[in-house]
Amino acid sequence: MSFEEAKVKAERLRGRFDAPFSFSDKKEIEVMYWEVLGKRLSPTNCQQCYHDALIEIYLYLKNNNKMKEKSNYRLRAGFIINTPAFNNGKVYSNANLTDEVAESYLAKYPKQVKMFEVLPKGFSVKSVQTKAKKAEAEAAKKAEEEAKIAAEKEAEAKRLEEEAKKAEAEAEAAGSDEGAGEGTEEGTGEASPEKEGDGEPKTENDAVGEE
Amino acid sequence: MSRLCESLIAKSIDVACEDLTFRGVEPDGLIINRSDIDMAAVEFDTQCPNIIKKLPLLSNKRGYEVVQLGNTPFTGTATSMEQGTYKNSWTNTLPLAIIANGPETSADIIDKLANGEFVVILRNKAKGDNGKSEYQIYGFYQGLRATAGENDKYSDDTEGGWLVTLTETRAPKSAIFLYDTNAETTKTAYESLKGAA
Repeated sequence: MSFEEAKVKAERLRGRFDAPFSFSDKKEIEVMYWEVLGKRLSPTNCQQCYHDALIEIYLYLKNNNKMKEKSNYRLRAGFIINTPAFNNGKVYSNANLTDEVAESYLAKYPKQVKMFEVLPKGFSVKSVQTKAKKAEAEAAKKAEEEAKIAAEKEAEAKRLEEEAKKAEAEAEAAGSDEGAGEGTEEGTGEASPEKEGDGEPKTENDAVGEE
Repeated sequence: MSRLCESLIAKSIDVACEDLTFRGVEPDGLIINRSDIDMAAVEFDTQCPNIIKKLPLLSNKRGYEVVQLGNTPFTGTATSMEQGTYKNSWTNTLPLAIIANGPETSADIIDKLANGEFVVILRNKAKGDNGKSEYQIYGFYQGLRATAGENDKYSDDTEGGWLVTLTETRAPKSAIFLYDTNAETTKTAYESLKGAA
């Protein structure tokens, strides 16, 4: 079912919203619920449940302008992913399962393929493991590069800091030499900004005059 | 053509909101065709033998919601001990009121309930420590089977709907519960049984 088809169907069913849905309408809503939202609507006697489902479908189409992307992997009913050693023990069910999570889980625990009732076409544990290894290698490479860049930056910062310190020390040494030689009243030999008249206006008139 | 006359439920047992015959709370449970459970993959807790950690269903199978009306939903649900010659056992009784009547109800629910074998999970109000006592499982060992069914047109209780009593006899354990890690994880596992997501 395409997005356009779903939209037209939802609009049509919405027009009959105030009347009870027929058997075929209910079937149509069940199908749309899966196609648009990727969730199963349990067949039921409850008319209100179908009305609620239609509102959910309609609002999703209106707000997102697309149908929900479905995972290529689907767990069997009753199975969840709940492994302390996987993704810090985060719990996954069909509601939050993504292809990436499923693939990385199966790469790590290939025997758990029995937990899935839907797998992508051409799926094999080996291919998933290869993909995971590749992704892992890429991630490691990226992390290494990032670490290298960070180390370079750190070294550069350190070098600049050392240079600044060195320059400061040299300036201090030069200053003390001059001070000792001239024997001025100030003693330090460092230039005083106020005494040098560095442009700091003393009065408003001075400032205007300078402008 | 299959020679096996299957009695698999194909519809949730819930409330036809537009045909309400009386008002009440809607506590929900889950009913599963017992043959849909992947018994080989069921995992018991290693610490407590009365806890099931994993209750997976076979591929493309699912559980169905069962919703009951009234201030005391699933009223009459009880477990009683049966004395045996060599070993005592337990009988679980679980009456279900289906406040609806019609061809679809009869075909998809009543006729299936009459001949099928089911497992039902009910949610206790008393959750217990970290939710350990919330999800109680009935019918896991011997299966719940209909031992009575009635459609009384002038019933004060069902208002012309159906009342089916499911019973499991000779269960070896007094009670078993669905529980995995904590309340939140158990809820996720329970919801996943509906196959809804």
